Amino acid sequence: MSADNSSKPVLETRNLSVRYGKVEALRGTSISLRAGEIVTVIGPNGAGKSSLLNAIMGALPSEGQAQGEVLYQGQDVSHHAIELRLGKGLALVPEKRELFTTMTVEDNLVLGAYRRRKAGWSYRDGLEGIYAVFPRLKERRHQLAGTMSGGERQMVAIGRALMSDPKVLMLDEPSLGLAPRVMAEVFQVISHLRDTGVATLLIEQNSRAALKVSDYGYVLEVGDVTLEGKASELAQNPRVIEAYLGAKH
Amino acid sequence: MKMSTKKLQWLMFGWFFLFPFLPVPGYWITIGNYIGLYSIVALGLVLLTGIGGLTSFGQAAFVGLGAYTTAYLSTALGWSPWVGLGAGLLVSGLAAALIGSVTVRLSGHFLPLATIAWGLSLYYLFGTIEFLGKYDGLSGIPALSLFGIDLSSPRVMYGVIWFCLGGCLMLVLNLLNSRPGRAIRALAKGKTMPEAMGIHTAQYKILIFVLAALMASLSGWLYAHLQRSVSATPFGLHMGIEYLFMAVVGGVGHVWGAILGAVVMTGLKSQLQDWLPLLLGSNGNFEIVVFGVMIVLLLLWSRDGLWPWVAGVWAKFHPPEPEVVAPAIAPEGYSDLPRRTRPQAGALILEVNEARKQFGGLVAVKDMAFEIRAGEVVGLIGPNGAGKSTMFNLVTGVLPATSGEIRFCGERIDQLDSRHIVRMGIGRSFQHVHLIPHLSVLENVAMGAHLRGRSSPLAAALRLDRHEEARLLFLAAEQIRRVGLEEHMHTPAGSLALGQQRILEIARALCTDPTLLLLDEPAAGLRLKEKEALADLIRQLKGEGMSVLLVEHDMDFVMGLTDRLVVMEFGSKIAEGLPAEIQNNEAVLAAYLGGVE
Amino acid sequence: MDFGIFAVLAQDGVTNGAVYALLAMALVLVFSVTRIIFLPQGEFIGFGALTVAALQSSQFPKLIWLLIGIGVLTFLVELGSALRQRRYKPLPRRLLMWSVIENLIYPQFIWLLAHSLDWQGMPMAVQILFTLAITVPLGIMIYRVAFQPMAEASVLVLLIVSVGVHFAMLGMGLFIFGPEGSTTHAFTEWSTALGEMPVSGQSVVVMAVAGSLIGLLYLFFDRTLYGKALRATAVNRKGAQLVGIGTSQAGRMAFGLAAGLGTLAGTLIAPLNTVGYDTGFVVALKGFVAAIVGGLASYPLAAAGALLVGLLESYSSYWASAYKEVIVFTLIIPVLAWRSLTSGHGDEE
Repeated sequence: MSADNSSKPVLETRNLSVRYGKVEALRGTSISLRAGEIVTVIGPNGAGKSSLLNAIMGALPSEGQAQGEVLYQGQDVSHHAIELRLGKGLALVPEKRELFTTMTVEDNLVLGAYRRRKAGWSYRDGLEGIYAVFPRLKERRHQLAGTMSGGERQMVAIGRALMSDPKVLMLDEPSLGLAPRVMAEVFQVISHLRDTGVATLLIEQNSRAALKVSDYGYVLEVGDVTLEGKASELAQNPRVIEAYLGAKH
Repeated sequence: MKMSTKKLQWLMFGWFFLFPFLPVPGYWITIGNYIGLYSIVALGLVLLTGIGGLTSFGQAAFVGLGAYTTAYLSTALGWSPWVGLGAGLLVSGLAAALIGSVTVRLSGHFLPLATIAWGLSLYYLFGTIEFLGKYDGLSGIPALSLFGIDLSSPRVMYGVIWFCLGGCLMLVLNLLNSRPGRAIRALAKGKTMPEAMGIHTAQYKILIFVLAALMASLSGWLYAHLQRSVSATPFGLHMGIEYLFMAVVGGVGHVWGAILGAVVMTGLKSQLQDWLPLLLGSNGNFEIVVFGVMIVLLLLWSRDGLWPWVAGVWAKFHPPEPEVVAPAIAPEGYSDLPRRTRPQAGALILEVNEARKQFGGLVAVKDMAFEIRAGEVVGLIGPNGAGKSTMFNLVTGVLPATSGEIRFCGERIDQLDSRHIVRMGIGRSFQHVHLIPHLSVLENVAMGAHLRGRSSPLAAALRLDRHEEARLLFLAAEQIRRVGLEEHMHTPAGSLALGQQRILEIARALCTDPTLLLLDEPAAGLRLKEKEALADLIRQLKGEGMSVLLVEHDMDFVMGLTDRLVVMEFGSKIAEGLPAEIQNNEAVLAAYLGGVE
Repeated sequence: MDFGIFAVLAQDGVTNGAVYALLAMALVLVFSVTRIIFLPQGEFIGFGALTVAALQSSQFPKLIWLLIGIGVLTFLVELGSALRQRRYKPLPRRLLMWSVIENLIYPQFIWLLAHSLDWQGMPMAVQILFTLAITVPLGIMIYRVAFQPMAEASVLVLLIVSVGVHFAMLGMGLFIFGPEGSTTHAFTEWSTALGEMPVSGQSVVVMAVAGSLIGLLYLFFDRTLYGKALRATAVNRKGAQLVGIGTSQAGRMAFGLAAGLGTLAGTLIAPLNTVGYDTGFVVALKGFVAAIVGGLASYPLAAAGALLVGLLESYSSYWASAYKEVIVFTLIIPVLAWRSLTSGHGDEE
């Protein structure tokens, strides 16, 4: 990566819309993020947050249709297949994790590198990298992914995404259903990734924790960005506090 | 969307009735006879597959049962063909009921595979049984006669066949346009929604399975007496597949598509059988190549078949009118519709006591306890994944509780299924709306009135249910007015906005005459205006004395609306109280805003 | 019935069961990866056996004409979809080049090979390999043309497409091979006896080949990246897409494998049975009965089901030979009843 990437956005959406038949889930959303940045999108259920990530990845369900541009390093990838976007450096950890539950942890991770075939790189190196971040996965590498606890599954899901060596990692509700201690661990990993130059796009219902680790934030309501700003400022914004804390604090 | 094509339909049918009186060659009459025979079978398939969602490749076997029964009785025993008709219907009906009771409960793709297997197995049976003449079959079957009038000429048989087809069509159309018919239409949407309306899905599936078999059997009886001989080949699996192709080509969701499909396939087949051997220079049933390719192309191009396309062209010239209309004033007997006695305001209606739900090692709901009193609006809130939906499913009977008790008006409901729970007075909506998109708002809402009527499918097919039907439709229309959707009464449900669809579901639930209304994330995905409309409706219902349990993620929405809130996290209740208290509860704030400090 | 007959019937049953097991494996594979119920499997059995028979009798294997024809069709489909995408991005030249090689040049190369070598004199294994070189690409092309454009359709729509493809292939089979059936040479004339039971070399070969193929399949799924990718697609389609295992790539792999297994099953039965263009369908359906025993999901249960079908067929042909097929296909009803009782209530949407 050259240095000027830090000023240019690595990922940008322009006027991105998603519709499922007659239902419009996302209406002309424009967001951007730079290398090494953590950006959070918060908003109520059904606001179109998951649709945003799936549209960026090209992983919308078949009845969903995306319109608008998805720019990766300035290039429009909005008509590329998932495989191509993955090869360029986008990766998504979906809300439901979508692990290969009847396969071992290690097989899950290895398959994460399915598209990553470069001379001189072996998936062994990749695995060691993941195990360094999540030592617990190394202990359990021969266990079936379906038998793991919620937190460990999330680690496998993140690890699998990292095996493709992404420049932009998208996480859909990573703290969903996790105990606070495990959640803290996940957020620690997310902020650690920033140091390696990976940009992270985060969707969280747990707004406070998410804004805390983020650099920038967007508020998405019924398909529209209604508010954006530095994460620290957003966390203090009375509208955000009212809507997502339910009370003036 | 919905095309009233009555004129087109009867024109089409009338033409086929006039057809034999024209000076057409005998060969055309033969083709016309086959079209009629095939249409009867395809009509059954439309009911079974297109409307009820059960795919069958085995209908040819039922045709065979009808044909062989009458053939055997009239040749070996010398009985009248009319006895053969009754016996054939009985044999096919019993066989269908037996096979149906085993297979219709199976999920999606196992059923069609099963139909392939028993279709083959009956075919081999026809070809092996000694008294059915093995593969040579039976011949010398007498022609039909009625009151001494000989019906053996093909032109006369044409009349008989098309009379039977006309009768079947009328019965099917009547049936579909009634309370049992709406239950059948609801089947295609899976199990959860119809069961929540009190519809016994397994029974209705067996019903349409038997009906389709009876029509096939009738076709077989006509075939045997037209052809005067039977052998196993026309009842094999390939014919079963061709029947399904006819329904798919015509439009498997449309009653009139059955005839259109039979016309297209039969016409094409007779032409191809003339031309292909000449073209290819050898004999054989090469038309199956064309059929196969045609089906693949058709499914690529339009999965609804030809009928919607034909009807669409027609609708340009003859604008559609709604087919199902509710009476304008309360019909006679409307006030006699049974209504539940309302519990006194403040009386305990729902008690959840230590309810627990475990999926393997995962405890989704951990010993939850809360209660609802009559006239209250209670919110069950919590972050995503807190177990709210599972709790909802326990109360509505979609899932049985692992342990603990849930009581409604004093009676235990934790092990009852949703069909019985709705009977007791719990109405519900769905987080992901469950509607039949091409049916009108009125017809969708009327599905909720299933338990308010009792007319049988037979009564419906014979139009003996009209008084009750008027009452049910009026009831549905009343609920539509109650929720404020009257402008859209005849709009196809699929073309409403999401907010209106949610409100439609509430109207449908109101048709079940509930004392407690359960709403599953009704505000998710709604715009601000829609949310306000929904909140107003809930307030109005509360004003009418309805008790409501609202499962929501959106705290904002429930704050001004509810009397009391129950908060869940990780399957347990972490707080309960007035909305104002909950807003300032530390545990709740932590759950919603993140415990990471 | 004495022990000798009992044992002979058992040997027959297990031999046939081994073939059904191969077919059941392929059906489970295709269904779990693509949700397609692969009815055209039967045609690969018949076409494979007839092609080997043609090679052995020094006739030109006419199946190559079908390969050339469908190759052209596949190329046109790919060209069409590339042209349709041109609105958004430049024409994928490299992809189209591959398409020309795979769909236009390769079939011609096979045609040339068929003409230029003396296939009659080759060992049977080479003849079978050459047959596979025709049928496996045929399977892949059929997936590309008929199924890939609607990979997201419901299982039922895919099933009807599958029936359509079965019809089309069956009709073409009649045109290509004619109504007559053929047999191929025996694998071996060797035979021995185990105590009282005569053991035919043919059975030993069938069981050994089927057994080792199942073993190879196991290794493929367990050890190789491609095998794991196929398993992953079966376990979680969305997860597989997110790691870059395209649905269509997995579908092609599954169809190629299934076509190959079908062809091998055909060559295994051809020395003992007269195989016609339409024989395969009923054989494949017996594989289906076995696969359904495994719920279209479990390989070991499907294999067990295959043995059950084979044994049932062989014993019923002794006691009630006329009702053999009736008994085998009626087996599915108690199996399904058992499945519907054990699987509980699922919503089928």
